[in-house]
Amino acid sequence: MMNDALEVLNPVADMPSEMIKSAIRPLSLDGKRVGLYWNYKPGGNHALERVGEEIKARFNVTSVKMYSSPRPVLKSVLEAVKNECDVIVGSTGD
Amino acid sequence: MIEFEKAGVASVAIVAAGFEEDTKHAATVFNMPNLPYAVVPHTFTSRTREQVRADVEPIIGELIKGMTISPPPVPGQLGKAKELQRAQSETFRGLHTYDAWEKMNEAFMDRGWSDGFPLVAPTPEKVEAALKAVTKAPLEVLGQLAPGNALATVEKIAINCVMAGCLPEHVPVLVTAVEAMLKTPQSEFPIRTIAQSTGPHFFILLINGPVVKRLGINSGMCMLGPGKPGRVNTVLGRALRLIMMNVGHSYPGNGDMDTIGTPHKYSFCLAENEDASPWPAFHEDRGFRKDQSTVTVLGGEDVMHVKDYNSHADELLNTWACAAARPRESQFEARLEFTERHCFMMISPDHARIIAEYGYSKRGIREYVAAHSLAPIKWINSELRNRPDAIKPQWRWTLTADQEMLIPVIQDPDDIHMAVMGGPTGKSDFARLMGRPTITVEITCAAADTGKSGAGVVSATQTVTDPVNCESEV
Repeated sequence: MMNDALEVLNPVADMPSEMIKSAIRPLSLDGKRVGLYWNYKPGGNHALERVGEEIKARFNVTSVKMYSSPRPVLKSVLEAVKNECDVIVGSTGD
Repeated sequence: MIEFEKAGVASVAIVAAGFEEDTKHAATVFNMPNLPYAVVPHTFTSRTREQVRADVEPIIGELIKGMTISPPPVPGQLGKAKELQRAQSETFRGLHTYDAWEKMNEAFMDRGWSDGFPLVAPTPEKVEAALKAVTKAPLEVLGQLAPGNALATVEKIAINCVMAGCLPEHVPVLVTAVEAMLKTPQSEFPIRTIAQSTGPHFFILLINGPVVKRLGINSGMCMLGPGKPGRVNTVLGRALRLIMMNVGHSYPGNGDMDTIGTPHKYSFCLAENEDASPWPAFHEDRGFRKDQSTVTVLGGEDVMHVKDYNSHADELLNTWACAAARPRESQFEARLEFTERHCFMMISPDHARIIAEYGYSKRGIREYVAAHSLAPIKWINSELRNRPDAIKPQWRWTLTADQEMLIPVIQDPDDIHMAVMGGPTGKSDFARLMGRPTITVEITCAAADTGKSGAGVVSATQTVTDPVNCESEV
């Protein structure tokens, strides 16, 4: 029989709950400007290079361009991607 | 990647196996839990170009889908910000109170809320007492604490302090520590990287001023424990770890991707032994008066023991220079906006006395140790020789220079920070830092009736940026 009770408070901090709506996706990469984003983590550039080659082979893209920036992404790089890309692939983790 | 999404560019991320949960967590805390990603079987680090290219080939189709198919919305996405409320309570039942407490500990451990040791029960009464020790309102938001970017309210900090074993008068120290972390720019003090990195980085509290004696914080022998002498240090450091977990949402495997881990993460709270120091104290160097109580937070990377019983100051400083000469290739890497070149000398009173007797000021120590922290270029740029694109432009010359040439690992004397601490012997410690120490913040939120903390309630929080080394990057 459970006789004793211990009331405790939740230690976990709340998240702000406003969420970001994802960007509109194109139906195809044909005619699109493709960005490749590398944050200098070793090897990520090689992966993106291969992804860029394959996208060029599969689609009639307007451009494929590599961007790199230390973390967090530099404002100048963010601005360039915003102006020059429709889609982007990032190699940012380990 | 989420910054690109916010800019209207459809994005997809390449993620290594084992990092999926961390990616989902990071995407969630940055408010886009449905960010598309595709998984490769290995991390790219330590793999050849050919291996990396082969790893990514099978997922190219998934990457294309990520850019061309809208990710399904997550329930609750685009909802309005909820109103902040006081912490919810939960009741555990048992045959007796101890049984209920054990059940609470089991539950908190299962949920990942514990550091692994038994927790003090954060009862409403204990939390209320903790909150009374602080002049701030329970729901005051100090900021969003990385890496999870959750809302760091005074109440949530107090709850975690209680769980760590803090007494009410300890809580203002932790509230001030979180303020110091949140007030310092990410480019100087990268909380997210220290918390989340695959490296064994940890947070160091450094306490100065009258609060050290008032609270019984140990600045002498065995301050870092274990046991009775450092018990206040232990609970203060432990509280910051629990705050990083439950407020910063840096949980092992989910916001903390440490490869091996380190016991330094459990608790690391230092206090300067100001009575034994021949020089002005750390906080005095930063513009505070000796009678002001302050908190500074450092991002530790590792700690090296510096033993030297020599009686000559230059020989002693050479030993320190040897410790400082351990290079980190990452200090030359362009990918890191923040700096990995700072270090912290924990100087024992004996070492301090000997060095000071020879006439060295802190400035003199900095200049000597930096100038003698020599290592061959080949040690410093070893990892970068195979990826020259990743090296900072100002260090490109090292790729073609004589690789045996000795250059100072510590390029700027102001990258060396120091405080006198510990017991009476010729043994000190040296820590390499991630980022530079935070802005030092005075403890001004201690309620007067606790009678123990800080220098009493002051009308405004004083923050003073370190007068040295305001320039960033080598």
